Amino acid sequence: MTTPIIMPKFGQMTEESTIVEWFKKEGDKVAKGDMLFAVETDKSVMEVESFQEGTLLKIAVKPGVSVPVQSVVGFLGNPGEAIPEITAPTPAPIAAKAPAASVQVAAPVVAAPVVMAQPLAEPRKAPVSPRARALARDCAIDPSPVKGTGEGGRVVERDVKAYLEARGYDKLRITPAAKRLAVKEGIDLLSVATADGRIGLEEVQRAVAEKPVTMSRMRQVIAQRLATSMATAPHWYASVSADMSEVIALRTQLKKEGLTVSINDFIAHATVATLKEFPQFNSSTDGKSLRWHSQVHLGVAVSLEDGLVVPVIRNAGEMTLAEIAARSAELAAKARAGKLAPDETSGSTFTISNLGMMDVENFAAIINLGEAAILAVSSIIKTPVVRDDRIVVRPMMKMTLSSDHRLIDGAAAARFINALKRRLESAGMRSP
Amino acid sequence: MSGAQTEVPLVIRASTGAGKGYGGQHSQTLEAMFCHIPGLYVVYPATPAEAKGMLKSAIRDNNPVLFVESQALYAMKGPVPEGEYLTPLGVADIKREGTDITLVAWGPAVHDCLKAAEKLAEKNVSAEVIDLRSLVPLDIDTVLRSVQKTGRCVVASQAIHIGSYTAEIASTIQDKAFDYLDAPVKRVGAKNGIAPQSHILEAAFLPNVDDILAAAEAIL
Repeated sequence: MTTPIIMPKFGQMTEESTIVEWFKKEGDKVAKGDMLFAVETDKSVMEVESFQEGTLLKIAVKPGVSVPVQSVVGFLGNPGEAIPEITAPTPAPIAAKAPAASVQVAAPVVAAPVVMAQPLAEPRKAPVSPRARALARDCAIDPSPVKGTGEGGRVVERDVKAYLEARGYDKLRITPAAKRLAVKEGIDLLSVATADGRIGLEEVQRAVAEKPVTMSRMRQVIAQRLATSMATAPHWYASVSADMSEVIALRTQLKKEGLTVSINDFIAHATVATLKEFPQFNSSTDGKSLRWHSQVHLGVAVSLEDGLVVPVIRNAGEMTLAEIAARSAELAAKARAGKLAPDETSGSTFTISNLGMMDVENFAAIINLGEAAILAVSSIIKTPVVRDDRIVVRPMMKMTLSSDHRLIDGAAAARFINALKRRLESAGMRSP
Repeated sequence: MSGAQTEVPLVIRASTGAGKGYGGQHSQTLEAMFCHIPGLYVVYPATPAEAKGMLKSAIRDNNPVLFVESQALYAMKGPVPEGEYLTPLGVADIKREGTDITLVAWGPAVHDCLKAAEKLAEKNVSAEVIDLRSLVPLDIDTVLRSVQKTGRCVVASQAIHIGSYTAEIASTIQDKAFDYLDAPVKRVGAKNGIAPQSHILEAAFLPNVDDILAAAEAIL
């Protein structure tokens, strides 16, 4: 018997997911517990294991295709078995939903079923006739700049022909191999034309290499969230330099006692304490209302090869330094392995972005959408500073707080970042 | 059921169509209904010569053939060759060659298409007119070859729009020649309704040359 392989639903809000890679090929034997495929959700990559043994009969959803959760993505079974037709995932029945138009009416007198009117999509703005599209495809040109003269502005064959003539297409000298590749890869030959009108394989290959590729889902989410944050929250910045002598000393001492704590853990711990003192920094706004968060869920940005994730230390306000250190190490390892669960990357109320390891003197971060502020932490750099009217060398670390100015006034931000600085510089920290 | 042991060498002549003010009882154009019956041949000649040649072919054929005749064309005069000849069933006829648009029709609509083609020629539009002649079996290849050449098509008949055989032709064209189409396939037919008795209303009900021209011009 064949068993459908279903795309799991990873988080409450996940509606569709993309398979990044299949670990098995069609025809491969699959044991119970074997990893079948990897899935990229909004924020992480998860591996999906098989709950059954058998042979992978069919891969129905190829990598890179986004499908709704609960969709059938393949079939397991015995070799040679027939593979069932794949139907759309059955939506859960909704009690209040109107009956479908095709409902069978048994009783002779029944009111006509109510069918929800679904508006048709608007007609395409610049339609291209199939014939014109085919001509453009055969000539390897992009028909989108062509002006249409057909019914309703449709681009028809004569428009493409006029465009080709106007752009001097017939004067181009295109090698057959170049044209074949351009047609296959969808390269617009008019855009790769050289000055002398010769188009060889090399020109097209260069265009293929430069062709825009779709960004990963993660990258797209980052792009959208950062742009929205920058556009909606007026950012305001305040920077301080903290003397990290005390922290370094304490870290060394704790290490001797067998407890490994990173500089970032000290900063996280001090930040949580400061947030309790200034709760407006642990809030969010949509521009009209203000929302206070009674718990501190601390986001700690972790950079990855191809992007960045912000694992969240939940209820950080109730954690000791040692607990924060342990949780932070655990989340960072999961993040680098791409194994964070969706619930571990959402719901932060304040975020720290630390580039300390990257030899950065100072930088400002963009607020994580929906939060009041973000702390950007730079490298610890030995710097001459004045202490008791004498120049001494101290390990100094710059921190910049980016605040949503709709929520946070300048003076409040200044008080917050200085309170944090004092915490880091004072021995009052010594109670992990 | 009979394992092809039984043949039905039957020809039914059916007089159809409107145009004489006979009202709803006698003015229907129902060839689409006959086409929907599996196993039945449906032919519909548009000229006197083809009426003779196809009737002889229909009688010689051992399949049941519904031989549709248009009341409106009964009075039509035209050359008819002497003696025995057969016009094959299942072969369309190109009544006029052209390169810019294909007009497909059968029965009286063929003559409207030829008049429309004349008028289009005055505007330097070269229209090809195809008379299907035989609806089942259907010579779709002649239609597709023409559409591959012209990229545009109007399908006309005297039947009302809903469920007309024009829809079958239009649907097949978009399926088999989609990438050759430069515009949607247009259909011309009678208004959806019962044929009126009044001559004035009947003229408004039936499709005419102007309707075919309007459909053609919309996609040129």
